Amino acid sequence: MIGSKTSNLADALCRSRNADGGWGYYAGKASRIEPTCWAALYLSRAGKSQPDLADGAASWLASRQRVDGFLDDLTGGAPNLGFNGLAALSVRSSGPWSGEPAKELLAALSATKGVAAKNTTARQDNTLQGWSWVEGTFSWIEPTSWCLLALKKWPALLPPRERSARIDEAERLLLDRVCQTGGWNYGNSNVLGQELHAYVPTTALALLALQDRREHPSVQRSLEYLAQRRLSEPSGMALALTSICLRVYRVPAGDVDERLAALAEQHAFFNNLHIAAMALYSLTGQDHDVEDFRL
Amino acid sequence: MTSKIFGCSDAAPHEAGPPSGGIATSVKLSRRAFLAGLPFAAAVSACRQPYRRNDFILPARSPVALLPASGYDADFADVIGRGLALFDLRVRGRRVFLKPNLVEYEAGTVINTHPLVVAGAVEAFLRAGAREVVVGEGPGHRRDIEYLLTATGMADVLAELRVRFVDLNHDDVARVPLASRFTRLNEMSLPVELLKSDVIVSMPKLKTHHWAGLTASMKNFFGVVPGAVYGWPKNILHVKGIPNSIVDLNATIRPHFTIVDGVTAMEGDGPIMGRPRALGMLAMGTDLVAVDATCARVIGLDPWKIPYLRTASAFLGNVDSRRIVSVGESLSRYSTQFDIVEHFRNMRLANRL
Repeated sequence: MIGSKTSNLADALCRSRNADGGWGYYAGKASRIEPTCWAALYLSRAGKSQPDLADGAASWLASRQRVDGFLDDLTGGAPNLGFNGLAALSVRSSGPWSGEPAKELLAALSATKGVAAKNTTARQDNTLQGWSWVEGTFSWIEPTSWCLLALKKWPALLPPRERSARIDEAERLLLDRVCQTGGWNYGNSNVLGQELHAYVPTTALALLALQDRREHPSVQRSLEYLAQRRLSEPSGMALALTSICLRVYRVPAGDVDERLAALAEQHAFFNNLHIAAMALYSLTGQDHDVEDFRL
Repeated sequence: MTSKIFGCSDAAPHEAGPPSGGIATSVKLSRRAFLAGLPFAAAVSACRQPYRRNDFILPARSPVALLPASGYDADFADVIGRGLALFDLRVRGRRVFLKPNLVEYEAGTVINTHPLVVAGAVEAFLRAGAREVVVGEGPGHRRDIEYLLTATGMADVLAELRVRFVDLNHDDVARVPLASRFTRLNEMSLPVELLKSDVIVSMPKLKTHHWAGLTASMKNFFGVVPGAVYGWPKNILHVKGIPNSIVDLNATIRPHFTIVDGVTAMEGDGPIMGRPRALGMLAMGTDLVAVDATCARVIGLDPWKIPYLRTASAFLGNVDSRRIVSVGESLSRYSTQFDIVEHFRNMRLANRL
C-alpha cells in the first residue's frame, strides 16, 4: 500500500539527480550535502535497483571533503556542522565515502564546539558546549544531535578519551535543554522566563542521539511526548524523523508511516528532494530497520 | 484620505532625536550595481563609516501610507492597489518578490503575516502589470517550511492563486558584497531567487520584539538569510549584533517597497510569545526606515531609541518626523501604546512613559 503511494516519489527523486551525482534541495538546484546524504541513505538501502545512483552520491560526498576533514557545500559559508554530522552517518563500509575520509570527518567534528556563554540564570547551563550549526556560534539541538549520534555510531574511528569527553558534554547539554513537557525546542527550553514549546522533529533527533540513555527520566519523558505528539506536526520532516526514531525505540508507528505516505501522494512535500529522500528512507524502514541511525 | 506633513507634530518634541554628527546625504547606486560587486573594501577602509557615504541618498521627503483594514475580511487587493497608486513604484513588466514573515505557527496567535494580506498583494501587483509575482521566505525559527505553509494556510492561498513559493533557506546562493559593514562581514551568501528579482517587497507582521524592540519592514529580511548556509536561527546575525545585521541586510538588498500587516499586530514578548493587538491598518511605503519609524510611533515607541532605526537614519532612510509625509490616514488615528518587555520599556515615547 505504502509502496504504491511512494513509487512516484522515488521516481521523481531518481530523475532529479544532478549530473555531478548529487542532489539539490529542489530539482535543477545545485547539489548540496544534506539532500545528497538522504538520497544516499535511501538509495543504498533501496535494494539492488539503484546501486549506481548510491555510488554516485557517495562519490559526490567524498568530492566535497576539504583537507581539514569537513564537507563543504561551496556556498561561501563555513561548513555546516549539522549536515557534516549527517554525512558521518551516511558513511558505508566500502566505496568512496568510507574508511579514511570518515575518520577525518569525525576528527574534525570532535575538535569543534559551539561557543560557551556565561550563565545568566540558574535554569540553563550555558557553559556546556555541543555543536553549533556553524563555527563561532551557540550550540543548538539539531547539530548537537547529529554530531553526537555520529560520534556514537563510529566508536572505532576516534581515540576513546577524546570521544568520551565530547559525548559526555553533548549529552549533558541535551539533557539540560529538555522542555518542561519533555521533548526539545531548537535550543533553549526557556527564554526571558517563558517556557518554550517542544517540537516534534527536534525531539525525534535528540532522542536518536540519546537512544543509549533510554533509562534516563528525561529521555523517557521525551519519548512519551513524542509518542503522544507523533501526528501533531503533519509534515514530511516531522513524520519521517518521528518514524525513524520510534522504530529505533521499538515503538509501533504504523500510523506515522501511513500519514507520511499520504502526504507524499498529496503534495510530494512541495517538491523538496531532501524531504522526499528522508520520507522514502523512513517508509522503507521495515526493510533496513533504520540501521544507519541505530547504535 | 488626508495628506499632511507630520512636521513638529505631537510625537516629535518627545523623541530622543537623531544621532549626533548629523544625517548623511546622498545617492545613487542601484541594488543591481551593488550585487554585481564593487571595489568596496578599500573605499570603506578609507572612511570612518562602515559604508560609502556617496552610495546612499536620504530622500528629501518619505511618503508613508497608513491605510485602514479593520479585519482580515477586508478586500486587500483593493486596499493595497489603492496604496500602490500613491507611490512612484515601477512594477509593469517586472518580476516582483514578496517577502512575508513566516516564523512559527501557534493556533490563535498572530505571529505571521496573514495569508490573505499576501494574496491581496499578489493580486494588486498583477493588476499593476507585474510580469510575475513570487512569494518567498526562509523561516529563521522553525525550519520545517512545509509545516508552516500548510498550518498557516499560506500553501492553499498560493496554490489557488497559482503563485510560486521559494524556500529561501534552501535555494541556490550567490556571494554578495555587503553595502554597509556594521557587522564587520564583507559579504554574505544570499538566495539567487531573491537577487534576480526586479522589485523586492517586504511584507512583515508588525510586532514588538524582545531582542530588537520592534520587528517590521527591515528586521523581516533576516528571513532571506539562508539557513542551510548559516544554520537556524541564523545565529550569526545575533552574534554580529541584531541592529547591525538589520542595517547591513537592508543596505545591501535595497528593498523597494513594504506592506506592513498591522491589521492585528503583536505586543509584549514578540516575535513569538506576544499577544494579539488589533490596529486595523496596513502601513506602506518605499522608504522602509520611514515606514518602520512610523509604525514605532503608532505603537508608542520612540524610533530614535530603536538601535537599528537610529543607525539606519544616518544613510538609509528617514526617521525624522519632519521628513515623513503621510499620504494615507493620519498617525493619530491609530496611535496607541503597545506593551513591551521590561528591558525595552525605555523605548517608549517620552510622552507615554
